[in-house]
Amino acid sequence: MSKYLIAHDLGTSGDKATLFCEDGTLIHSVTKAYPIYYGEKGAVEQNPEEWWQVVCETTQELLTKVDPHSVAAVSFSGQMMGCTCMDREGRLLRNSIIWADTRSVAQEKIIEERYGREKFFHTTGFRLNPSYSITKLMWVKEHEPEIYRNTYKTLCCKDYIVYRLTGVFVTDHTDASLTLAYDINKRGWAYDVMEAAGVDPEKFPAIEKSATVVGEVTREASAQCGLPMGTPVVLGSGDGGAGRVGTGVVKPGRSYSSLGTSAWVSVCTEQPVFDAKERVVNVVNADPEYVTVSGTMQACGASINWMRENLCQEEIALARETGISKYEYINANAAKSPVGANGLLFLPYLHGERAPHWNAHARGCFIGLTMKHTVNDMKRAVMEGVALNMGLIFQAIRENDIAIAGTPKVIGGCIKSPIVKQALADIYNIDLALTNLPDEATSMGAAILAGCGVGLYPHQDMCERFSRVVETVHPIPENVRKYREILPVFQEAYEALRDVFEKLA
Amino acid sequence: MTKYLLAHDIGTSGDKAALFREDGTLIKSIIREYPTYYSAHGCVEQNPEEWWQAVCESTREILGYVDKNEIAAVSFGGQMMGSLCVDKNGTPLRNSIIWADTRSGKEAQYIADHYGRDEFYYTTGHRLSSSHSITKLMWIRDHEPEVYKNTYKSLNSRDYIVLKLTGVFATDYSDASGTLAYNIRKKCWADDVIESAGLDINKFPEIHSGLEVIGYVTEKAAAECGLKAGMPVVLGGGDGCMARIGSGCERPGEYNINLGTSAVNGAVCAEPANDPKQRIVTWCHVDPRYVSVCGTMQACGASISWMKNNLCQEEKALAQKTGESVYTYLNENAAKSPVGSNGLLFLPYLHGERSPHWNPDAKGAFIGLTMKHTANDMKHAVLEGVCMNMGLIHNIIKENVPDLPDQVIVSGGAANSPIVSQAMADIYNISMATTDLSEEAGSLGAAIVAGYGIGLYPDIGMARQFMKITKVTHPIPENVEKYKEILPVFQEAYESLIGIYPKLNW
Repeated sequence: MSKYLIAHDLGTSGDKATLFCEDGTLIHSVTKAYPIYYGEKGAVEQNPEEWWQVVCETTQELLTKVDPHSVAAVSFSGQMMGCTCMDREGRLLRNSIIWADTRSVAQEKIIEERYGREKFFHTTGFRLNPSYSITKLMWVKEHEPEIYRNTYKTLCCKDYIVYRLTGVFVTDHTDASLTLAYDINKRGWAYDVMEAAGVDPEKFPAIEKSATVVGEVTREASAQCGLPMGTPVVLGSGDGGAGRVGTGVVKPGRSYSSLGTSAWVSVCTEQPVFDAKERVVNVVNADPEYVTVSGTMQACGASINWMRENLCQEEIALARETGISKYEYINANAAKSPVGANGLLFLPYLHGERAPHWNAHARGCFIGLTMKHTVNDMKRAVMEGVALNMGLIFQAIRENDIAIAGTPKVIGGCIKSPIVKQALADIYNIDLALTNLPDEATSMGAAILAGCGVGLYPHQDMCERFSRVVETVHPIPENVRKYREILPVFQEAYEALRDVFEKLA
Repeated sequence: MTKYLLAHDIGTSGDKAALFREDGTLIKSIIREYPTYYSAHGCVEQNPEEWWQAVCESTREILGYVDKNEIAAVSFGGQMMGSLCVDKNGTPLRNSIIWADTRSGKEAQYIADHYGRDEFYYTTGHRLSSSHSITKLMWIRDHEPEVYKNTYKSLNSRDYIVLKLTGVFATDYSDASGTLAYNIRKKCWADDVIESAGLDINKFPEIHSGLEVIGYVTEKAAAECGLKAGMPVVLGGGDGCMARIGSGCERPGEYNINLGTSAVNGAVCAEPANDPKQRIVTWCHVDPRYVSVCGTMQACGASISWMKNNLCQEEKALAQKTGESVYTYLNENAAKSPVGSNGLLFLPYLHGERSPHWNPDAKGAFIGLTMKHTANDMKHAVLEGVCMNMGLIHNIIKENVPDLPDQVIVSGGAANSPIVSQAMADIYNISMATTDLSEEAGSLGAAIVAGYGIGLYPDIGMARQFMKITKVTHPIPENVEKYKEILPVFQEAYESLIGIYPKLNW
């Protein structure tokens, strides 16, 4: 009898639960949404009880497809950087403060003063910033001291679900590393950072490897989610880590780019890379032997969606008439403009920017318009703009003497655009591989971790079993030369406007 | 018997003929287009025979609305800054090199080296560039020596039409001041400039007042264009001057704004400006006693029509359905975005820029986009962007010309946008008046000059009687404050990108 693996990808908007056969076949996938609560001053929260409800619902649906006893293991990839405070009995003390929450700006300053930015970068591998768990816990301590005092452990998203299934408080290295209370050099909690932050190290859970069976489904959990009692629960990883497993970025030199709403370039390395300009950052892999140097841009698909909503009325109307995808029309129209969009630049900083600029005040711009430009040039410029920013990140990584091995994969919704994927290959000047399941990488990563945890797979380098390369995009030398000319101007245009962005804020 | 006056505006895209009754009522206006010939290295030419054909055709069509015996006089506004070489018989020796032509960069540099840019600005009232007649004639001398040798006079568009009608070689002070071979302070050809350019001063036509009857329609011309032989021809002036007369600006202290494809702020003054940064220029007015201190931006209406063509698919579709003007919808949608366009800037340098930056490499830009911005913010930003650039120019004129009026007539198509007229009032912090003749200002100016030339009118300020103010837009103090905050950022955004513009040419 075949064995099956369940992977929950706990995203920001909902849980995508996927059932895989051990041979890598995707049997069924179901997504259910949970709400996000926005509050004052950058507060963004979710109710973990609602995470759990949705996980139960999706699990039950998957279990209608197979014999529940043939499920060999369940595992997770989850949104990272959150702070979920729980008491000793496992009760929630408040909503979870999720990754997108930015209220803890004052706490960031405290760490900066007491610990120092540069030292922080060299300890955690990351830039100090109010988006991560540690400053959120500091915020709770200052504003809700009662809750802080009663907090036994603070967990990340997937850790909470693991707790609900097994009753075990635990986290893995990938999630731990993005709390920013983690020492990337030692691969363990950074007690000196916690001390400077004034938070109690006891409130952080034990760290295990991602591909570890941390417990079994309890009787109570079984009754709620339908998985048989005793089903092995494999810890899993933060979504970034799972994505790397799902794209085979599990050995030094392996790399992938993900172009979703936000986008990132990641390259696996032996040791963290401390870029002198702090443009790119480090996270631990699901296999904590390795780390990954990475840079995330805020508005990739977001820029393209913005463009679709605001510059593509014609395509939207046409698509409505013909039933053909609006993206097909948008790409066809953008393709009327040549490489370089006739000298028009788009700076894709509609959400400010993380890598490579780390400037919350950065703004989007079209620069270089003349009477000869059409809206099709603008469309192409948007697509090229996101690829150029990815190019700056890739370049920042390469400047640290990081070798790239093999053909990097590229995943995410945006690479369905022929213009985006070609521009990315041209700007990186490297072959890029597209798989048949570009949207399933994190789920496959979680499934691989599940399989590794229960001994179905010998190691994490298993993504070929789950998906195959269907297309290789080659750089076109003429375009490579052109983008080589454009990229420094793109960078310079951002720098030229930095002061103006401050004034528009 | 009622008298009529005929005005021709020899523009870039065509000739606009307009017939006015002596009381200033517009009877009919007609546009006849002619082609522009573009070629490499910034060459932009027109065929003067095609000007004349257009003038003849439009005149004949006008004559369908009036008895030719009732037309008392004709006059002109015309595109300036060109060079049309004609021989002794008035026959063109080549196409006319028109104002938009920029091939004569080397020649401009030659004058800079031999005369000096600052001295040049002081003498001519203009910045030295490749856009004006003098360097174009130098180019012809160096590249087409035969043509130069046979050139009897270098004319402008209006001069040529006057020549065709009357057989007289002449130009007026306003057109002369646009050749940059003219001394704005001494009000005569600038012999020292012409000498250092190495040109023959005799190739420039005699300068007359634009308000004079320069001649009468010849039999031959009458046969071609249909006008009555012997009808008085009043010389007229450059198109900018005529729009100023048509807006009632004839005396020092008067000020007008024209928001056409390009746009200009013009103040009538007794003395030329001498802006230390040379950001504004001085033309001779059609009344040679006075000058106009002006700053022209390249892409005002041009930016708005670019926006209409590229960002307003929805409005265009709606307009097609309902028969309403696309601009009505465009303004409605742009009005959904507040003053300041939610922090979005548009730099309107789609054609490079003249005033205030004088940078042919400048480019258009949207700066400050976030996920929250919509296409309506972009539309609003374009409308505000042209007004802000006009505001920069206005502030410079204010530095140089004291006592500007607190209400100004604004003409040109873009003035019809309620957003534009409000933003203009707010940014200038003065009231903007639009008139029923605001789109006909150039033609009305030429008609008034025609009437004055034959003694029909006591002065050239008749526009103030003829036009009706249809709307006055007053500044809103809250907006005034807001734009005071935005304008320096708008200026800084342009400056930040000065190093980038020339690199955007892959």
